[in-house]
Amino acid sequence: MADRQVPNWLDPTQGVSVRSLTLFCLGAVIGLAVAGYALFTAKGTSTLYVPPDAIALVNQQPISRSDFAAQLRTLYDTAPGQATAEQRRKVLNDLIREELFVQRAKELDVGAVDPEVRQAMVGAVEQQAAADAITSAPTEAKLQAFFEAHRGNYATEGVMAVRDLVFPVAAAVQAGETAQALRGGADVARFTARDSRKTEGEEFYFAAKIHLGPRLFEAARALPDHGVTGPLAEGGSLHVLYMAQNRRPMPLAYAEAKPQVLADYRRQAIDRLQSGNEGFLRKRANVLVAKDLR
Amino acid sequence: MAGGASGSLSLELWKTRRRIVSLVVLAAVAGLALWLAGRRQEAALLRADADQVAASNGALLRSAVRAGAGVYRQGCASCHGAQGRGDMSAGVPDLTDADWLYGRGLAQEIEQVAEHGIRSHRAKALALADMPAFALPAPSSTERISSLSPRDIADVTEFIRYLGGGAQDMTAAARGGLIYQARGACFDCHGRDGRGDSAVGAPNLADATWLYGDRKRESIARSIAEGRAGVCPGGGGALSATALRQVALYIHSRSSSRRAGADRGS
Repeated sequence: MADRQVPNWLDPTQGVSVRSLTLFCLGAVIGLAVAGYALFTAKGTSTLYVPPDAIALVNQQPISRSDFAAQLRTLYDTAPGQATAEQRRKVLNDLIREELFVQRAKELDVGAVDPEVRQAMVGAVEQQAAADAITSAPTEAKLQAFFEAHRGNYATEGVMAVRDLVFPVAAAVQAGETAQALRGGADVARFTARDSRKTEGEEFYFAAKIHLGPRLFEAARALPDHGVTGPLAEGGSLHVLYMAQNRRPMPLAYAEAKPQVLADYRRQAIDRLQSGNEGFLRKRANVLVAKDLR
Repeated sequence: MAGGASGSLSLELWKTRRRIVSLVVLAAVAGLALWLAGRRQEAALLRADADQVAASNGALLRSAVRAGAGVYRQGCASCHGAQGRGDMSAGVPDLTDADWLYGRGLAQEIEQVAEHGIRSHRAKALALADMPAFALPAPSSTERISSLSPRDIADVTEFIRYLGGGAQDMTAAARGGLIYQARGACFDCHGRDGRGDSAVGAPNLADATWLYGDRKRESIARSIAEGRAGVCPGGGGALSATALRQVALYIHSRSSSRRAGADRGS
């Protein structure tokens, strides 16, 4: 039996105007649909449609739902679903008002004249670079490498319990005898009357340095437990330092230092990115400097 | 010769082609319908109150949680772990417990953290307070707080252990309490009773949940001496609004499920 004939307009080997027209129309509809979608969803497109993640468009600038929800929570400690119509309207109006004023400020180029706005803008750009720097979490291997490279930064704070015995310059002999007695094991309590009381009990190194002054602190730092200095002239007096206990800074293991390592790593990444950002801005800018300042 | 007119196709071949074309068209229509349904669902998810969705246990929540798991794996798991249990050694909080550093664990609050982060240097990030480093000459870069001595730190540590019911030296704890309530200004963030303030991210010092280390003296003393200021990057910009909501609902569901389990257990 002979095969039935296929209608000409469905046979791709036949040039039939109906089929061509159909395919043409189909292509046109798909093309228009894609173009329309792209047109009405692209950023900056003028549209009458408020995107689902926004609560309003002010001159096509969206006000996000998350800002709306955050503002509701700040003002009324409530969620959008539980807020009253009055609360929602108030927050919406506040946000629209803010957006209108921001847009007007842009038109007036407030940033060019207002020092506070300029400062805020500089800060915002720096913060943006910093935010980019911390977006990705460093791997454990990177953190460990950073720790190894900066091992000296990770140590416990030194602690000392030092007594500062003060003598007039004229009493140099007595100061020397006191130092000798302490070295011989005499109880430091015997000399309480001479104690400057600048230090009391255990102190961190930095605090002892502030209390004793840099020179006496350096002398104290070198002392072992129960060590005694000779008379040291400082500030118009003689000082004998007795070290009850000196706990020197101890290097930290990686596991102990990890939070600090992470913070330092991020700080360094932020510095690097901010400096790179500034370099990029300088590079692409056309900066002309007056002759007398070149 | 099969067929009649030259150049025409046999009926069988034409039928096969028609089937293929029909299948392609059908697949395209189905794909388009699915895509449109997905967009509608995304729009519904975004327009809904996050916490009402979280409480609903409906299809919207289930699909959001499914998608949120993927977002979590890509954006959060590197710090919080695949199971969301955090890392105590680095002060990364456990997202599966019922203890929230910021807010009350509402989906909307989680979404805010996911979008803007904590101390992330973003304009809307949560960064209201840092724990001062009391063993430094200037403990805080923003507040005028004086340093504490090693003994002060030991005393405050004992007081904090007392708050949780684990102090051994009550005299030291009493001294520490005075520092906590006055000179150290600890009460300013952690509250007079040490129960913290979730509005500024100050942890509760009287409960059993610890962000850094455990309740051991050493880890408490280190927090006081070195200060703490954990960072969580914000995903806004890199992640769509839908993805942020999905991941917030996913995290919320992980925490809620545990709470529900705990309630059932008790």
